[in-house]
Amino acid sequence: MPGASGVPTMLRRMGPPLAPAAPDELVGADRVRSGRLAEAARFVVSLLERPASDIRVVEGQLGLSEDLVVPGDPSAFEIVAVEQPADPGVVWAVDGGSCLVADARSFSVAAYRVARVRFARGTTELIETPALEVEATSAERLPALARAALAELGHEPERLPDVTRPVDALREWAEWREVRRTVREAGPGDLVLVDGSLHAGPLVPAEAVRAIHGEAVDRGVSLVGVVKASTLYWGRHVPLVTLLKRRADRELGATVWATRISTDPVFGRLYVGDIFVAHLAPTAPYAFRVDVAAGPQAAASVLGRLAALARDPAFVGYPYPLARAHQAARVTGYAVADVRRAFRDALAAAGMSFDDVEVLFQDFHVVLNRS
Amino acid sequence: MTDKGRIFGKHVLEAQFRAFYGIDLFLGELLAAEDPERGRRFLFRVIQVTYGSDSSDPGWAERTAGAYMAGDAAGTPYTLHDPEQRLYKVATCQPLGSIDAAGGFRKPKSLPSQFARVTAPTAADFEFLRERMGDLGIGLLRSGEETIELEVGIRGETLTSHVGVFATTGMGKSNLMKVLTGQIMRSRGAYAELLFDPHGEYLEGGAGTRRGLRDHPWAAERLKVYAARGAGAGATALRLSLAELTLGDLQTAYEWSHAQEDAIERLQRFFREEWLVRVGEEPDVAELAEQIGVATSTLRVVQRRAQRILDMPCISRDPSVGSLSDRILDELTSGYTVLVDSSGLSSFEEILVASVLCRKVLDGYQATFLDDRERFDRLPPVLVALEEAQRVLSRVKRSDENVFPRIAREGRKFKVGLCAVSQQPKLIDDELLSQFNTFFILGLADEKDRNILRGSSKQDVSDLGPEIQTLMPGEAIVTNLEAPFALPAQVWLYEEYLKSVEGPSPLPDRPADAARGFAE
Repeated sequence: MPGASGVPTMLRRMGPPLAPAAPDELVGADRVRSGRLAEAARFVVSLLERPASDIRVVEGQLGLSEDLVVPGDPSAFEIVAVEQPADPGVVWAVDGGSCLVADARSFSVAAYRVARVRFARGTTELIETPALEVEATSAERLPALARAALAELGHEPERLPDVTRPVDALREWAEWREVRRTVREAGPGDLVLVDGSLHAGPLVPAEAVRAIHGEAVDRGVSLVGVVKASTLYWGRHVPLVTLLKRRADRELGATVWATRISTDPVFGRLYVGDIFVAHLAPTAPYAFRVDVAAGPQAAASVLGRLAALARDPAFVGYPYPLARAHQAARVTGYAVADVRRAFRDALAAAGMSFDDVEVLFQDFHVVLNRS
Repeated sequence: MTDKGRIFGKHVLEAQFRAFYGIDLFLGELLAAEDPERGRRFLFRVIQVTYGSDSSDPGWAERTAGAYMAGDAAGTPYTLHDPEQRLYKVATCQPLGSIDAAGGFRKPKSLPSQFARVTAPTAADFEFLRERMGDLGIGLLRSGEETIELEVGIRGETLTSHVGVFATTGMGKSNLMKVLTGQIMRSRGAYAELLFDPHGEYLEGGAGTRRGLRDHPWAAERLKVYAARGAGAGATALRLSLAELTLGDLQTAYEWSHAQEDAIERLQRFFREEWLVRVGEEPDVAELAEQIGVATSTLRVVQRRAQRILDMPCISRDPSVGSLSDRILDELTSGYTVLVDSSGLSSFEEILVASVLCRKVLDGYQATFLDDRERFDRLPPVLVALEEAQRVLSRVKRSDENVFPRIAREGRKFKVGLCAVSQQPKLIDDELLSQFNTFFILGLADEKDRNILRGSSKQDVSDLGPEIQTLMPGEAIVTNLEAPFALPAQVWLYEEYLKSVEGPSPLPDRPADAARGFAE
């Protein structure tokens, strides 16, 4: 019997029988491989248990896309109370919003806008929500777009930035254009708020930021960036803002405070101002990284103005004008759907058949997720 | 600011509009929506007001309230910036109808254009109501807490299709009754009224600075006053004959057990029309009970009540003393308002007197209708107004002998209307309530009371529960067949109303030579 001798041979090749695997953990209606959640949790806890000796600003080395690392410890930063003025004065806020209209991988179409508000005497007296800009980009078009955008910011780059998400680049360039326009329109003593870091990054070179900062200083305008998703870390992994918030909660309780992070002299050489972590309202659940550019007003006073702006109960601890600018710039889900539909209509009007449109932009993930 | 907001949704029977943050909206407020495309204006009534915000997060408001509270607790109160840009109100409205370019009114059968502008109405928007408001005004059209310069009232002819005045204590029933009665007096005999006053407040006005019917400029000409317990200044002592009391009156006024009714029937068989006097004066009840074959205890109850009736100062057992009921009927048929001050009488006694007089009125009008149609046509409609009317109009009081349900059912034909004043309409027989074509609904706290009115009102008031519940004293909702919708009204304060009433013209001066030829 040919098969009679073949079966034991095959079993031998398979090796000894495997030990029974630990059963998967049932999480809701799904399963997680046994022990993996616990292991991940142990890792996170161990990060907090292993004190580091440095503070890290991710990609903080301007122009090099490398982290800036300075000696430091969260317990060493001096946390100081922030005095708030009754009237924060005239405050401008700039924020951008964007969406991907179409993504064919080899090219994409992005829509974006940058909104601006002016807040004075307790009310928002100006809200600018411009129409969406729509831009088609591809690997070939992007260098020209980047060069034009940076030129508009007053910078002729030797090397163009690496752009992995064109939609983000288009929005960020537009944001800085709007910041510059705002600085030029603001009056002496005004405060201009920017959503995000004030420091240059891979997309916006340091020279462009310095140029805008220079104009602000010349005009007597204070410039501040508020960062919602901070890249400040203690050591390599531990979010610094959260640690400081925890420490202040324990030491100070419900109060308005700020602590200067950029105490190391290296910051002075790299940045246009100082980096703070600030808790802008007594009961705010969040603290934020706040970049205060050197300018006509002391950083403490600027932080005080920010705190006076952060007392709206819907946005406790976040400067209200920035929240309004965010709302004004936001491209809602409905708007995204509308723009996408309109773009498909535009393609059809330009001569593309609907079948081709479907084929061009089809994404099999949609089919997979739907089924 | 007349611009209130914009309509955004719902359907032909209910509209919703977004109102500016700073706009104060009230339940019952009347609003107009412009529809220039169709050249129409739509009228609405606010039936609910809720909060709105531009946040797409359904938990936003709750969370923000929490943030406020946390700030308060921390001693650093927060301030919502730009509330007028972030918050608003959403009003749910009951469409009342539309007005076309010619001013004609149509019932709500279509929608105004979406996002139509909502404004405060003008007096011109309600011009179509003017001709429907009748000659017995009681106040002004009300929009929320404001008034619109348009008189609200009823036509005098509709008095005979019965009027209900419903309100919790202190909501303005007496004031409304004084105004309505004042208007009837002012009609110069076109209408008549028989008004029973159990609290003795209508004539003088009650306590403090309140004024009464005596202060009405037409009182001297058109008001007759009777007092059931002695005569005061300007009042005639009411006198009714014992012979006028029927078993029906007694059944209406008192609760009788079957045994007691049986005893009365036996007494009537034995003593005919003398039965009440005989039993009232009988010294030996036990013997009489045995004589007529009823229980002594039963007869004692009958005797006690008979004695109370015999002791009533307004009841005369002497047949030679004439009853004033004929005179009262004459006065009513002549267009007078007759006020019967029944204060001092017990509730049962008051009903007994009212029952006798109302039966007299109904029978008198009915007899004229049957015997002399031409005279009947000239008779003024008469309104019989009774407080705490649920006492005589409840389901348990329905009987063929009870004159009040009779008036409710048959009075209209004979020009006799019933005005039921009650705090508890829920106790009134709903079949009788459905006979009432006019409701004046003032503040009613009890939901059961509101519910019973919903089922009987001539206009749909089912959406007006919250409004009725929150009516302030003097604020009313008027429903009747003439009004195109339930009309919100602000009843005139009687004391203010009096200032606007012109009395009868004084007699012209006597000519200087008028007496010449007589005395000389």
